[in-house]
Amino acid sequence: MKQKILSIDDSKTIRLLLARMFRPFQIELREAGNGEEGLAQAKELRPDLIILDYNMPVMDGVTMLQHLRSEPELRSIPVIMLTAESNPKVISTVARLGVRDYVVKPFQEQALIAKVSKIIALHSQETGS
Amino acid sequence: MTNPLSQQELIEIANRSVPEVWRTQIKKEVQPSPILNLPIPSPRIATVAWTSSSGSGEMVLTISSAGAHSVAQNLLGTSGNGVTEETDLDDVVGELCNMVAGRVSTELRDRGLTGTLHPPVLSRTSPTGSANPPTPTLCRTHWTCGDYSFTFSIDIHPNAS
Repeated sequence: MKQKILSIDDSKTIRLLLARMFRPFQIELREAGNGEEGLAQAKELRPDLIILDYNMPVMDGVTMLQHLRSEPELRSIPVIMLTAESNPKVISTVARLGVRDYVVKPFQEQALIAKVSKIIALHSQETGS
Repeated sequence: MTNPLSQQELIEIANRSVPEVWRTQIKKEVQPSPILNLPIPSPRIATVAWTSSSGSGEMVLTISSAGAHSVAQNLLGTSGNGVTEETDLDDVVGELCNMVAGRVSTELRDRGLTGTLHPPVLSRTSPTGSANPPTPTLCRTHWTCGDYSFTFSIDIHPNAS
């Protein structure tokens, strides 16, 4: 069965970059351009992992995370933040909201793929899926 | 108040940040350009604002349209997969500036200047109407990568108090 990843970023460039990176793998990648669209996609798709930006219009990454964690059926979905923001206050806020990893741009593609793979495998073990 | 970092310190930060982003994300090496103040043809300009409790500033990337196409191809695949509109090319330049600004902001944080980045703002001309940005007060660096050139500047001001 294909693993499902939801990429939420207002930059089309990042969404295209992630699509190129994960194309060789057995992964279904969906995209959303802001937190609100991302939340709707998460409800429909129930992804195995979300890669989330922080700074977005309409609904930012922190607000989206708060909504995600308040929904019983969505709260266990693992999230990786992928952002240019390295402000410690932001990092500590999203850590409290259960983010599994925090990747600051620029990033090594292979390192991100390894993190994604590890977190999806761990989540599968935790949920027995 | 004096600026929290000297011009030389900002140039050193830019000289570490720009090559790292190109090497990591674009898979290309860049060279500092010996040619100063030549205009960038058909420029695309991305500006990322940075704000903190002690000051504010902006980081500006100016690159030619041909350079932006080349970056898109290296970043997204041989044909620049998915980059079909002019706004897509602007988005590539904005994201590239965002990445360099992220690298700069991390280094500023490590020096005790913790700030927040704002989304990139794109333009084809500088706020003064010229095709290239006005001379920044602190740091402007010039680069070449293959057959295109670009500039990256950092301008940080302390809060007036």
